[in-house]
Amino acid sequence: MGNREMEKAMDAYVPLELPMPKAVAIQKLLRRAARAATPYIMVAPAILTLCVFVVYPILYMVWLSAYRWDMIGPMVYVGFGNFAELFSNPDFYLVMGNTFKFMFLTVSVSIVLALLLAVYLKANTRVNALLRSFIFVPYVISMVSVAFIWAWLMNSEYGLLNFMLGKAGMSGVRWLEDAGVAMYSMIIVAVWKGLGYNVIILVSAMHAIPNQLYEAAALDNTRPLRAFFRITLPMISPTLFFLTLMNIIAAFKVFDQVALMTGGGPVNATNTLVFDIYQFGFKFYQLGYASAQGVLLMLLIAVCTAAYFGALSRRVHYGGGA
Amino acid sequence: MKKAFVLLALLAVIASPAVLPAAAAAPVDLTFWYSWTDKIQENNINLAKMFNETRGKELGIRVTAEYQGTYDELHQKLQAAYVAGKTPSVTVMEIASVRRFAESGVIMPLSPYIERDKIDMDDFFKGLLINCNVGGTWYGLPYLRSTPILYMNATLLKRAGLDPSGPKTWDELAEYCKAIKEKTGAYGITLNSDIWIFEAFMLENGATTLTPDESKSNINSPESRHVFAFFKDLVDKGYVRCVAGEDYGKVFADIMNQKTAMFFDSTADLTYNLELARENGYEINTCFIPSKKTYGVPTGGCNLVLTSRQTDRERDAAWEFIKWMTDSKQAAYAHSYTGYVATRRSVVELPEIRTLYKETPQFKVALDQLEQYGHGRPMNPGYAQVMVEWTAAMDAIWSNGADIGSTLSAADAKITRMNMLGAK
Amino acid sequence: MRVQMPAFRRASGGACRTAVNFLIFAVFFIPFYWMFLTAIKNLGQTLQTPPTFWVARAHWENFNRVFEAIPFFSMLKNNAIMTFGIMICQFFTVIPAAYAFARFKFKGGGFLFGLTLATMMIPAQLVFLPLFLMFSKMGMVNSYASLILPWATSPFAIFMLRQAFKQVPQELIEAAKLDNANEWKIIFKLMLPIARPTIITLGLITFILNWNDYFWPFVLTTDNTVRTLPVGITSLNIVDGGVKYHILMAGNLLLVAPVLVVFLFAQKQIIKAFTYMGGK
Repeated sequence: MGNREMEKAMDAYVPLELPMPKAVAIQKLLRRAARAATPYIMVAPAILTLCVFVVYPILYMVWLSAYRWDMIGPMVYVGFGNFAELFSNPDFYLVMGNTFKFMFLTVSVSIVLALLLAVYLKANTRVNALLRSFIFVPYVISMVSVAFIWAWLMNSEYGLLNFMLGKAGMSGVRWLEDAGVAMYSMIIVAVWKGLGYNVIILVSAMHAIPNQLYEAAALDNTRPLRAFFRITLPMISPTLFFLTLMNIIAAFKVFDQVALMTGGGPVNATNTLVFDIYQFGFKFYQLGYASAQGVLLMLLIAVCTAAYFGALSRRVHYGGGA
Repeated sequence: MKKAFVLLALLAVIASPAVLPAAAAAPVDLTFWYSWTDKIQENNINLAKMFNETRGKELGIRVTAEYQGTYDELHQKLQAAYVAGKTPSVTVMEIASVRRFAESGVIMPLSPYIERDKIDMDDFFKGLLINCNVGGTWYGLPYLRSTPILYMNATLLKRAGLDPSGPKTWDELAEYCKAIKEKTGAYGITLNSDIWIFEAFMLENGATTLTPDESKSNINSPESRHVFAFFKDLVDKGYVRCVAGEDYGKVFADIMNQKTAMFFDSTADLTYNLELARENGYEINTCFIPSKKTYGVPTGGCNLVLTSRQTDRERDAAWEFIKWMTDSKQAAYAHSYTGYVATRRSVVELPEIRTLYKETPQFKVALDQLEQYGHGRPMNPGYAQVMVEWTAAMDAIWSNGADIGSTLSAADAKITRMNMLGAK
Repeated sequence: MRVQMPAFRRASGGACRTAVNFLIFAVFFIPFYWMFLTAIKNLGQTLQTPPTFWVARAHWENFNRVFEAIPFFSMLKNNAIMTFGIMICQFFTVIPAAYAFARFKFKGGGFLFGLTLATMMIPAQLVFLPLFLMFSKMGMVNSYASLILPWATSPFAIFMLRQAFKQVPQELIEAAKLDNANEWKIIFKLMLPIARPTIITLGLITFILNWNDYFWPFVLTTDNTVRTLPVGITSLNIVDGGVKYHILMAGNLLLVAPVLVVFLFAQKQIIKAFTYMGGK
């Protein structure tokens, strides 16, 4: 903390050298300058980091999207050419379709399942706490592990899942090889990994609901299902909204499990936006095209972020949150 | 503690040859990048060490070999290094990428050196040289090169009453598959969606995956449709299993478990397959990939190339290293250590290689196939994208039951519309 | 519970609950058990159909194979350097910034805070391409700096910590100022102790997220000398000659184990941390 030492040094140094009144004046001036500079000095490291590693790369990406470039050859200016190419590429619509399908199903299944489990595991018993921990474990381990475990479980010839299906008299599923199934397998894995997080957040939101509300409902002989829709759901709705948005943003950036389990296949069935950006950037070396896709992803995320802050400010206004 | 440390540091500085009074001239330090681990890694490290102890010592050249992951990772890192202005002196390079790096000036022509030192290019097998040459100029010399080959579980073939020396034609291949499935219950072939193998199938039909000028793809050509139909028929009948994706993982599970009798794989995996067969108690045989109109296989693997951004002195030294590495003796060492093919005719004449072929005739099969029927691979930089389309088509048709005609015409239309093979 | 239930209904409800509990347990336990079991099988047992659910003799040598295949401990070290490097950097960038945003009204402060919030949702997946090019130009691909610096600050942590600082009563600060304490003193002597739970929570979240990160080290490194464990384990998946699931699962187990151990001991704290992240 160089600043603190500087101030200390100033305190020690000034009185010795200068006649008192002048010294006091200068000292005051310096102090005021130091005080005015303090907040800027304090935010500087963070803001600089953000500018260099977030703001600048984004501008760079927008700029790149107007060029055709393979990283080592010459750059060719194409204006909106990359976007034109993007929108004329049938694969782009496929990729966007996949991304939205993954997002929509992962988020809705996660939220519904998490709601059910949260209601089921709400009470603070030891068994419930243990189960909540269990559900939470996949969330704290790396997606790498989760992807490999499930790729192995879903192996069509030697995997455990097909063995169990066989025991139950059903025929095996080619989880990761059937183009019609692979996306659902991705969704299963994503839901399994993220469920614990959604559950604990919903449980804690439910715990925050004043008990009197339920007691009043019990006096009115309200049935549990009705109580859920009339009390629980409205009371946790800010959290639910918040959670949904977080889940949506997380789903948009899915990459790891695609890269590790299917490589975007079969037949592009699991090729999603970030994986496609990676592929165009690092495999086909079309950096302009990849950047154009990046700009689109940014717009998608911007929309979600705007909604998120909208919700955040409402939470603050109506005191829904902390 | 501290004193000891300082002393050690001093000793290290003194002992390091960089500050030793140069006897003649200070030695040239070179970096050499390579891909893959295991046997291949050991081979690279051993050769670099041998160079440093012999020829390198004479010339005052010292080479450090550095591992860089898969070919894709190595290429990616080479670009990053080029942008940063710090490339290695010598690197391996996957053969289909040579043109891209040559045209962008990352690697430089070897032709002047080849002429100066009178390298006998005719000693290399012709099929291996195609991907070393861009527009009439040499940019690389063949190093760890391979071809695909048909591997067979001879134990299963015998059980099915078949000749363990393998099928010669596609018709025989189909018969083999049928007989194996019916007599042993195992699949005739377990196949994955590997474009490299498909290149072989195309060559055998007298075609190539791209047109000769590499401006169009032949994915919707009669030959391509024929290949797709031939294997789709076998898949539909249950004689052949096709796993989606280019990953060999699932194929090898079937091989080890003897759930399949035949598979297509690189000659580079020969040592590994022999080992696997020994461990799991079956016999492994190899033969040419059966012929349709003719035999034919692409070559694969990597060349050694020289990067452009270095001083003349480093460049000369790097060339000495490339020359030594690709010379007969070293080529023979790499061949027998890894299973990659012998790159030169003179290699095959060496006594140690003759002995090897006598003991393990499977090595010889790969050589004969290469000598007579080896071809190159497309070098258009846009081929990376076409390969993904092709793989998707294999996944769709062979393992997801898609219609051949519509899938291939759609893929072809896309390749054309997106101008994948045009100038980017 | 609130309504009196006949005994049999309660009993059947209990049985039903036990069944559901067991189902939940199975869905979240079996995959881990299967990983563990595969990790101690040999190749033959791995590919056996029908599979066995127990092995008489554990093949611990699988773990040696992992150590032979990848430089496990050096990757573990890289993981630690990256994770702790990020945490230390964040400590020094986040705390002053959060304090300044919480306690000062200064020109441009609103704009800068807005900027911070706006970058909060931008994931690595969006900026990896330009960042890779940037680091390439500086010759910094495959360096610890490229792994750490982009995460040297966290808008989310700044936001959260600012909220915590704001809740410190003004009187306490005034009192400290009367004692002639300067701003830095106030931060370290007053604010940090009060905000300790928040800082620990943020630290835990940062630790877990970065320890597990695959994407960033994957795109920013091509060299084993700086690669982290999650990336290293994936190379067990691309070995020449097919995936050996027993080896892959052994590696996977080694990747999961430290996190599981941490989770076992700090699960309350960790769950609380992530609950907090959910905005409660």
